[in-house]
Amino acid sequence: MGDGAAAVLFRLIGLQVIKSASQGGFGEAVTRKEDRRLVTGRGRYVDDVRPPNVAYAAFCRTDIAHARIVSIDISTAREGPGVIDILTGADVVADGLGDIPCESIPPAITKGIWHRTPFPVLVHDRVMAIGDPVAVVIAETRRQAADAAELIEVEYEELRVVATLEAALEPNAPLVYEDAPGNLCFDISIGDVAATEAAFAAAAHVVELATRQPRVAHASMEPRGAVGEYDIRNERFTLTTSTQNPHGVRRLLAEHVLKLPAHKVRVVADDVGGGFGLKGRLFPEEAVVLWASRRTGHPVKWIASRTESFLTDYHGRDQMAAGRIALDDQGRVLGLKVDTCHNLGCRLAPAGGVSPFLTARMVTGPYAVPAAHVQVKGAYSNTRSTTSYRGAGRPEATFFIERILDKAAQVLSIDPVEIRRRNLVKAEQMPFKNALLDTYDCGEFQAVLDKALKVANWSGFEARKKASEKDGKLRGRGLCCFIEVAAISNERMEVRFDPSGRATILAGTFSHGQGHETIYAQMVSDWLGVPFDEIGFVDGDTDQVSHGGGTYASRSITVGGSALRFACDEIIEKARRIAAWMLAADAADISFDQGIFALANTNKSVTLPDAAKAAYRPMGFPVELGVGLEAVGYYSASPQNYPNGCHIAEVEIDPDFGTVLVDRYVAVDDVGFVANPLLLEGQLHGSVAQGIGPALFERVIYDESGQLLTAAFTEYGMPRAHHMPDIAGDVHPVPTKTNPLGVKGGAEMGTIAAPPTILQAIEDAIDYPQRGEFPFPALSQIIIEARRAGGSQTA
Amino acid sequence: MTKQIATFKVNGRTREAIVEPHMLLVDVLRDHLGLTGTKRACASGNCGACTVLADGIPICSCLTLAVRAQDRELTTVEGLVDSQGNLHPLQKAFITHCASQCGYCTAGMLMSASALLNADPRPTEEDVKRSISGNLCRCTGYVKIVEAILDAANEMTDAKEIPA
Repeated sequence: MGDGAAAVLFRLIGLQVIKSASQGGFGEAVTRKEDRRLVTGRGRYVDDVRPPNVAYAAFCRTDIAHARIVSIDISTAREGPGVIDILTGADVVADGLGDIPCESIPPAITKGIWHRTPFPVLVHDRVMAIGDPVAVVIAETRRQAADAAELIEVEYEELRVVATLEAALEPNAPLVYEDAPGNLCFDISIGDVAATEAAFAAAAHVVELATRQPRVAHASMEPRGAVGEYDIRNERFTLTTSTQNPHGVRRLLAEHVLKLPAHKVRVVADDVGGGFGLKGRLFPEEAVVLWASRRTGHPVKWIASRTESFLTDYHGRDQMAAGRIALDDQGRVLGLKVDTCHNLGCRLAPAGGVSPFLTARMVTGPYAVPAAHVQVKGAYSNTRSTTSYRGAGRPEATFFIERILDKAAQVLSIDPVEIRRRNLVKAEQMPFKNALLDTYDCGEFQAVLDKALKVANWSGFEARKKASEKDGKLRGRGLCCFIEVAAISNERMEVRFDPSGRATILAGTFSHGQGHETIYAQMVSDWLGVPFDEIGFVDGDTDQVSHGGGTYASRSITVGGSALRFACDEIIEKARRIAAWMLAADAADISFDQGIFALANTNKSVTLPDAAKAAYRPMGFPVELGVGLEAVGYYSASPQNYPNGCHIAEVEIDPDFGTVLVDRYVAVDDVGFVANPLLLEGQLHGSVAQGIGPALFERVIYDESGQLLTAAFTEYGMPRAHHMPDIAGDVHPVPTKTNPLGVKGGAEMGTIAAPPTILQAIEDAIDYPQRGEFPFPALSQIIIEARRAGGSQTA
Repeated sequence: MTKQIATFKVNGRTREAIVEPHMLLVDVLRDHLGLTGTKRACASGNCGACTVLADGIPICSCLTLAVRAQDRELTTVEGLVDSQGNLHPLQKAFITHCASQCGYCTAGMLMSASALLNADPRPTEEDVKRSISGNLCRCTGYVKIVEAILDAANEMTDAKEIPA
């Protein structure tokens, strides 16, 4: 392993990377192996896959948010040109296809007490949100399928609609499920009620706040899509799909929907055009294309239109929190009580519980809060299911604690920096058991804060504010301290040498833009001393990779990297025995360094590739050393790790139009050991963009009848190039000892930190009287109205 | 809907395809001519993933009827490499700056940027941001894309200014 985050940028001349001795090492800023194919248009995404004889699927979807299906008439549609077959929910029932389960409600917290929802792949009785699929047309062309789907006539009996989280929680709200009173799926408490009440009783100040997270769309650039192929000869299914988790999709498909041995199902993902949590588990359409392929004898392809994506992709966030914070007269936090409720949508998505429970776990943030109590609820509504969206719960938690600290700072007349400084967990308190469920193993939060203030030239703000005033602009600043929890579950990584002596990594994680092919090759190149460029890589194919957990929750470098480390260690030990045999020596006398096994006190040596080649000799190689050279490494993220940081934003507001320019953005992050600074920077920039969007304009809106008003890029605000500030990123690495690499998650910092940071800066710019309470997203019209209401502040 | 044989000039080659009048250029490029580097992500002209050049001008191939593109010189991302297969300076700069993550918007970004650099070899940062204002990216936050385009502009200008 390298000894720091050395930024070594390699310059390209033609296509040849200039090589140095350390080229490709773990920790260096190496350019990506993936990019040659991506910049030349040779990436392969689902819509680029077109098997011979492929037919196309188009779904008939409800345009009513909540209704009972009275009848479906497919007779006209069936006569449409090119139509091969039409399948409905009744066919799903007749063929015995199972439901998609939710497996992500944490049993340790809920003790299994939560309401289950049916999740059929085509709805046969009751549609529960606009966009629910009721039938599918298989036709020879995309257009024929879409045209025929329009001809399907569905008679509905409309039911009362619960269109928002607020509506779901109304005392006399219609019930989305008769057996879920109050429209609640779960209502769980964590923390210490008595200790928290005692803290409030002893408090000098109590500050209250309610926050509301808008619903957002993941909006991956590649829409969801799937190609299903049934091989009648082998009675096997192959699904090519846009996913983050091929083995997870296969398991849910085989075990729950198709009810087959998993070996009868192969799931393949090539390049995937963005996920952000959306594509972590199974979607109904992925099951339908396989089933339709078996029924029709054609490979069946479905690609979501953009409107279909907005309607049927699971959404993110959509949460409200209300709580109180108890403080002493010095602004030190004594206790925290939070009630949080998440809109789960119309049925539980396969990863439906992740965000609510992570919100609850992480709501005390990086602060030494002595007592806390969180009530976490999940509610149903006639909206699309919600799932993890980049950050998953940590943005919601961070938003609440940061905003209530801002309000407390105002109430107690303490500087926003100072109130944080007084409450951050100190380095000497590590490991720190927080008042809820987690123990932070390491971190230097005060040092991170100090570094961020320095990088941001915090003290130079007044001069910049004056300069903005000269231009007729209002400048404000905000900061946010945060902690997240990263990496989850176990992982399996394999290193396999082939008879040419070259290594291939078989990854159980799945890269969908993160650059794993590069980072894992950096590791293997470093640890095994084999050339970076010669390392092969396979992920995203359940036939080639025997098991894996996919990629989400900033897990891959921790669990994939650590498992890979153990696989490489085993390769070295196996190859050492091979080298010993080749040198007719004792393995104990053989050292390994930079790809070479050397026999002590001699000039005899064997390279690792030569040892690997020897292991494939058909005769003469001792069978007790096996055949070939390969190894599997395993790792489980228990405990998890705790990336943290401090972000600072300055905004400039045009007082006439209420438009917000995020002018400067500083991020200092502790992601532990930095695997590749170039890729980390990319994760920072991208996550900041995904924080700026919701802070300023991104939101999914349903009207009161459950119609989606944001079903196109013209209606749903997406950050564009001109929305992005200058970003100064820096790191303060405190390597964790919880994994052998010292790495922490490094992919979600901006989505977590940017919204509260920017909101605080907006309040500062317009001198908003109720700090912590500015509505989210901070639309221009709200800013203008707030200034009008405040009246006094002028540029 | 009558099918017809249409002739396209794409990436310096003349190609024929059987098309119907309603067909969009993006679908003909991808499904009929095998040029799948051009992406379809919104099919409504809002995201720029399908951007190609027609006579050097960036157009949304998802808003263009294929039959209307017949008499124009089309360039797709596959046409950015030179005849020896060497990468375009923009492609090299995208690699050096790590300006792709998932890669789905990359072709559209490259085509918008190449149109800019053809028209204006010395763009400012603002010019670059404007040139890709119709291109959405969900992964990168645009920072490295803008850097890469500016870097490629410098590279290309420097190359031109070397005296013959």
